[in-house]
Amino acid sequence: MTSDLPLAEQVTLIELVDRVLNKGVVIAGDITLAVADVDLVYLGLRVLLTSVASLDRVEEQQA
Amino acid sequence: MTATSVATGWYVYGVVSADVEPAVFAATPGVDAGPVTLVVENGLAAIVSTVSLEDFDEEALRRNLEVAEWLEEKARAHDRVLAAAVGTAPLVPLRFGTVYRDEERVHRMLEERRAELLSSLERLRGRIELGVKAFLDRTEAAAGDSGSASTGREYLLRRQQARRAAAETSAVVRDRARLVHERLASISEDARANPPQPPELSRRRETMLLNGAYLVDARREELFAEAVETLREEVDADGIELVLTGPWPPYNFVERGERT
Repeated sequence: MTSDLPLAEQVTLIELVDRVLNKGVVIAGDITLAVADVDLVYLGLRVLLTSVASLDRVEEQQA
Repeated sequence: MTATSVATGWYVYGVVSADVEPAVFAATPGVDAGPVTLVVENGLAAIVSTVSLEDFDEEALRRNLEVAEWLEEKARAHDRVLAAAVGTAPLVPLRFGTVYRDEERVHRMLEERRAELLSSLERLRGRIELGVKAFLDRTEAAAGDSGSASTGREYLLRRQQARRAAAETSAVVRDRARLVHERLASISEDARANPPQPPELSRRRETMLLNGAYLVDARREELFAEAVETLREEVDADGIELVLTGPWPPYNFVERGERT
């Protein structure tokens, strides 16, 4: 998972994902996201954001 | 449409009462950039748009969710469509990614879920969701921590002191955050304290103390904002920062429903 999104917007992406994917009524459609899929999204975002955060720290130390 | 054109699905964003003005969604494209319309069934209306199953069948969806740009674009579109209805009609948001293979099955869902949907819409009528997060501003503590120690022993001692101080602070600030939540809950119709997000998810250096959602009478939105302002001044001395967001579609105040 890669992203060139500005950091400030990723805050709202998480906020959004938290509501749009993790809340709301779950009605079984013909196609419905499984809870496991939502967990995977979180995992993916966490890995992405953790790596961005470490990159920030490296840049700060170099600055 | 021929029998072989199975590539279209009906993506459902949420359900509103059928007296909603369809023009509300006119300026808001759906997750697949197409127009957003209503599927009406006996007083209830599903907010829908057609999507290509090349992007939205189970396999494709699972794959696409791993692409941050795709996820962001679609999640924003989903939220924008629902947000267009906020303040115009009571609204039950559905979780992202609910798709039917034809319009008939959307009708059937509205029929089967009728009682439950009507009671949710009634409960949400005239109410909005607002979010309040509390963060602990640790910048001062962090500055003290980063001083260079001349010896290993001095370093460890300093670390130990910092940890002890942090533990004491945290009991006090957690109490303050709980108080903020209780005060806001007391002027809301309903309230949820969601688990605080860890820093890598909140993308803030500060510790999140409160991740609250509040169901508020739409006429009291300003009153709620004023209460947040008052609390903000009260907790400022403890290094706590409050962030108010919304109005949101009432994502936090509908039943989760069946698990899949």
